[in-house]
Amino acid sequence: MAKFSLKGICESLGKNNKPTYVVMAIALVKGICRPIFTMMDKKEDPETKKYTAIREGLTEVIAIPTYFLCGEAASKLSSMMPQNLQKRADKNLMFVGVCAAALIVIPGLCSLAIKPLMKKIQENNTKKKPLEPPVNHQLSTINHQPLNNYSTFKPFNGSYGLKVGGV
Amino acid sequence: MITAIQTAIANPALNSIAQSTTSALMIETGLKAVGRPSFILMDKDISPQTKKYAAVKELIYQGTCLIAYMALIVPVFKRGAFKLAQKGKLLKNDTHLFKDFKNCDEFLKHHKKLSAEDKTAELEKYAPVKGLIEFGNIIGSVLGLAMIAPQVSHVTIHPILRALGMEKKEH
Repeated sequence: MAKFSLKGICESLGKNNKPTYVVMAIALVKGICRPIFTMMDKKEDPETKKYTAIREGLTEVIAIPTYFLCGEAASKLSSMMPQNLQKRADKNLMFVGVCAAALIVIPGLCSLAIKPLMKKIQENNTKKKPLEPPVNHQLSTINHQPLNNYSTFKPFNGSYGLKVGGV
Repeated sequence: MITAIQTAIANPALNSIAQSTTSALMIETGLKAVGRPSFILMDKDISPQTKKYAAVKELIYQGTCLIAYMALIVPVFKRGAFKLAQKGKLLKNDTHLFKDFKNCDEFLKHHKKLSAEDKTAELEKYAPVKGLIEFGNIIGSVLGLAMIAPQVSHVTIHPILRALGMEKKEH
């Protein structure tokens, strides 16, 4: 139980803190909160909101493994450097890898992944759309009848009333 | 040619940027602020309004993140947690450990200079100090970057779009 006290947490973080913990914690909360806030926007078109929210969530999902992989992959190249420069090159290449991930890899992967995802969501939406209720034609014709009949009212057209002189 | 590439890769100036969290984060955020909106604007399958909204929102978010990191996370959460512990308001039993250093920056500088072996030995004693700074950083980052920055971009997106002439004014 001591582990869950502030002292327990601090001792554990102090002895064994990896940057991944911070990145994971931020990405997790960002991946949840950002799309929620976007969907709360009442002034924006629903389709725009949907695209933005999905893209924000997707970016976080893609970002976590990509940062790690790009950084690690780039730092592996330091083995090709002379021995005396390897240590410095390792850190530099890792940083360059992370920068490349931030600038191109993550948004690029996100653009590739969002198209099929949006299509699938749109397909699901059209499938789920309820059938339109049958139109009652009788009612609809009645409704279209003009309520004001005075324009067609002709008092002397001879088809009603007292007829004088036979036919 | 190969030597020039090797020298560029092992550049000491680049190394000092990579080692500094603040500089690395500023550059990374700047790249995100360029890359993410650009890829959104390049998407041909979405409407112009969606493009504008998503790209501007991303730009505002990244800008807010940078400001939140510089103005809130480092001074308030990292340094603030250290100061509170020095005054005995946090981790009361370890106040003496915090008083060994003038402030948070002094501890971090001192810790950075140590060799890997010395770091492990020192962390046996100063684990709560390092841990509290890290804990403050995590709480501050989650609050600032994941909760406050999205709120700020949510609130400011429409006024900014209107100011840029990308959205019609409400009547």
